[in-house]
Amino acid sequence: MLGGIGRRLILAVLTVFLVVSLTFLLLQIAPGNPYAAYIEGCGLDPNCLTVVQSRWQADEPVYRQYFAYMDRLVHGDFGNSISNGRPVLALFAAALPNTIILGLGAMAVTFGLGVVLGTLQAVRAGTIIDHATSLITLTAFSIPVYWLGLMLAAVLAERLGWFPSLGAYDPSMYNQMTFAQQVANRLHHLVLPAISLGIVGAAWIARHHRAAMLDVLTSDFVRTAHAKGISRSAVLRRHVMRNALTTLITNFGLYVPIVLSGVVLVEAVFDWDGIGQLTANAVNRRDYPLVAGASVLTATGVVLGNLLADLLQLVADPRQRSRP
Amino acid sequence: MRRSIAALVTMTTAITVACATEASCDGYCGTLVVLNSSDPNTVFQPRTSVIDEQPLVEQLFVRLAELTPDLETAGDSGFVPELASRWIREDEVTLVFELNPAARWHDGSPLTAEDVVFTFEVYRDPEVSATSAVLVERIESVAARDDHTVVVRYTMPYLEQLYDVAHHLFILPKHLLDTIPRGNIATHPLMTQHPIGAGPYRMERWGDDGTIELVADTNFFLGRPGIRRIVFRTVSDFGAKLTALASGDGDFVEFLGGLPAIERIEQSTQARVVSYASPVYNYLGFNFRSPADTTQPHPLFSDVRVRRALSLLVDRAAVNDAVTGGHGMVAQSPMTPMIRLTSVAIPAYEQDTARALQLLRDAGWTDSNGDGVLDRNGRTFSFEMLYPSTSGVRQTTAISLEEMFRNAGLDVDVNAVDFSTYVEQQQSGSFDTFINSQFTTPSPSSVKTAWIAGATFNWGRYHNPRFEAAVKRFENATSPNDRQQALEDAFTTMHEDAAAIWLYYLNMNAGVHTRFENVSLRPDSWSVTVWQWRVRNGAWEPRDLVGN
Repeated sequence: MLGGIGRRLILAVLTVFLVVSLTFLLLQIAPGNPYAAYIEGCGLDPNCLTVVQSRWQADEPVYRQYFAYMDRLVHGDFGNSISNGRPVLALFAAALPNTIILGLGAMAVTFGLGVVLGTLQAVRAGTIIDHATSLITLTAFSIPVYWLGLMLAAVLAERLGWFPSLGAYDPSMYNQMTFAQQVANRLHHLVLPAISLGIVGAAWIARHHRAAMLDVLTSDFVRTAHAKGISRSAVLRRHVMRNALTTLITNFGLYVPIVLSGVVLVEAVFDWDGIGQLTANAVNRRDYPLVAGASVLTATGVVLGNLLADLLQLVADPRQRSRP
Repeated sequence: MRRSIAALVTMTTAITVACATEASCDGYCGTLVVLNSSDPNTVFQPRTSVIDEQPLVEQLFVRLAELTPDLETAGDSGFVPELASRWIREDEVTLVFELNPAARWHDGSPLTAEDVVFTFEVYRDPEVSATSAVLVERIESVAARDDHTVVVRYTMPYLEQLYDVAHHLFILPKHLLDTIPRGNIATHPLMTQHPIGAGPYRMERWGDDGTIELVADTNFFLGRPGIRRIVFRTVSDFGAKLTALASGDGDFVEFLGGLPAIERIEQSTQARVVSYASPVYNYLGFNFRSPADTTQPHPLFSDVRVRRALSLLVDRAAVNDAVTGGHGMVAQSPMTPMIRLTSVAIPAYEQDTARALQLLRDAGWTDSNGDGVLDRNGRTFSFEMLYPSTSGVRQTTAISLEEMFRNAGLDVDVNAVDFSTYVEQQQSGSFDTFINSQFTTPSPSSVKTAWIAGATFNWGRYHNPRFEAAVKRFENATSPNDRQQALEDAFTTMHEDAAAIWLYYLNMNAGVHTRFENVSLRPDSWSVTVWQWRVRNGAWEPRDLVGN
């Protein structure tokens, strides 16, 4: 088991290295100048352009820039953002908690709603409830995340005023709030983005969980449990759900990259100050240090997500532990 | 399970009650949430480049004097005192300013004449590369006669002397910046995180998330601002910004853009539309140099007959209608409606397709092979039209123009690129034509920044000595008649040269929360009058009461 984990860790490090290198290469190839925010003010002044480019070592050969960057990265120096000059790590440190909160909120919606719907469908398999829920989940699965976010904001925020339309919290009042008020404020802001990001995933989880539940429901040991006189709800809780869990855990690991990709869109719609928005803006501005930092964090997040899924599988299913 | 449900209900009730409670103000209140498009990087005005930096500068720093809403830049009467409580003309090249002795920096230090002298030196320092350095080049010297008297001498007599020294310079704190290498001031924390100014607002917080909070300086020497706090939030997505304004989560958006956004805010119960004269002109610019080699003339657009022909092909009224939906004006020059030039006669090109085609034939362009596209010596009349993909307004412009040119037999390749690429192509001159927006200042002399050889924003590399001489005569004019004549000469030259195809001035429409009163927006700078805005009594939002 330890050997398996070790191998996975080595692969994880290699994956992150390749992603960062590929990102650096793509940014070099992409048209556009990362110093646009500065050089636009320079206009056609050649002295100004020279000053800006030498400040960021942009006049060095690409391969030297690459090795210099990788060397700094290995020593934990992610450099400064070209757009605003602030340390990349500080910017991500400020943004990461917001993305984690959004991700967790979305996962709560995805897995909470998905498991409930999947279980409902499984125990009512073949009935009108099952068919109607299938239709709903199929529709929900087809909805673009961006469009759903816009509609929720337009109706529930703008028209009805039930929820805020912007941000992870209200910065105009946040610092003056008590801790409880800050929590409530963040939760209030979380509702619409979490639903936008989580609904599509919930539909996906519901369908998978329904299949997994049906698979277990027809097993011999479940029939035996019923025959022994154990109540239906107890059988569901203690036997069926537990065994359907392994599929859920696999989906959890696969879900992390889906969340990370959807997060960019939802963060744009709701101006959620997370990594997704930070990265999207960095790409638009060709802000190399920020984009590279984002690729390191994202790749690490995906890899860790999969690693976590593998570990949870080992915990949940003892049969996995003896496999290499 | 039951306890979890009870907790959820309690929290929901608390939130609902909190939202429903009516807010009231017992002291000094008000919060204005401004929704920016991009993160400000610095408040060092000589090097600001992001449009959202200027409002910050104007709250944190002061000028010697401020323009009145009339925006009369000529002479000495079109200004109101700010740092300078009065000014006296000693002779035709000397102005003496008496500073308000009550003026203080936000750290409590007194603001003196030495700060004004220091500011002038910084703006003129080549190491700083101030974008407005060219606008103050006729100021010969700035000296301190005593702690509160500043003597400004000019190289020559001209009408905009007061404007040059009062409008372009934001006074900087010498005691804080003097020891910093001039080239590093823009990125120093004193300009990027903890600025100290003397303006109506001081910096409270500059967050890593781009949120900036300013708090009123209650000791501001011209009086306490009407709103206690200003919070700048960056919202990159325009749709999200509109939703925030319409739902009351934000209070101000400087520019609503096209008709759909304006109509949306007009229908909102939380915000209203405030219109003001446009400081922006939009045009199709020609590249006068070859994209392949900027030392060579452009194969198409170096020919004035071709430029005139294209100018005659455009139905400006139709473009204006398509783009602005009635919220704009047809443009005939690089002078915007906010500039006081109603008496200056500016020639214009009216659409005349027959004459345009004749000009093209004169230049050798005909459809020799009957394929519907003009050609000459085996080469088709083919060119690129560049614009940034982030602009819906310019996209609509491109579509309109492309159709008009195509109908006349020109092959147009419309190319939308992201903003970073757009800037890079402009810088390198690797384009044929481009659709651009250009801000002007209240003075006609702002034409220098984009249409004089070597000017910062002269992307097309336009150069006409006769035009430049006329601009010089305008700048140096000492009488309104001379000024008017020089301007007419300059614009007539530009017209004959078909320097660009002027398209429209987009009316500026801002969105403001309905609870604010005393709102006026100066076209060249919406934020100059913010410190005089108020929240209507009884219309308080919870965020207005923070710090009350």
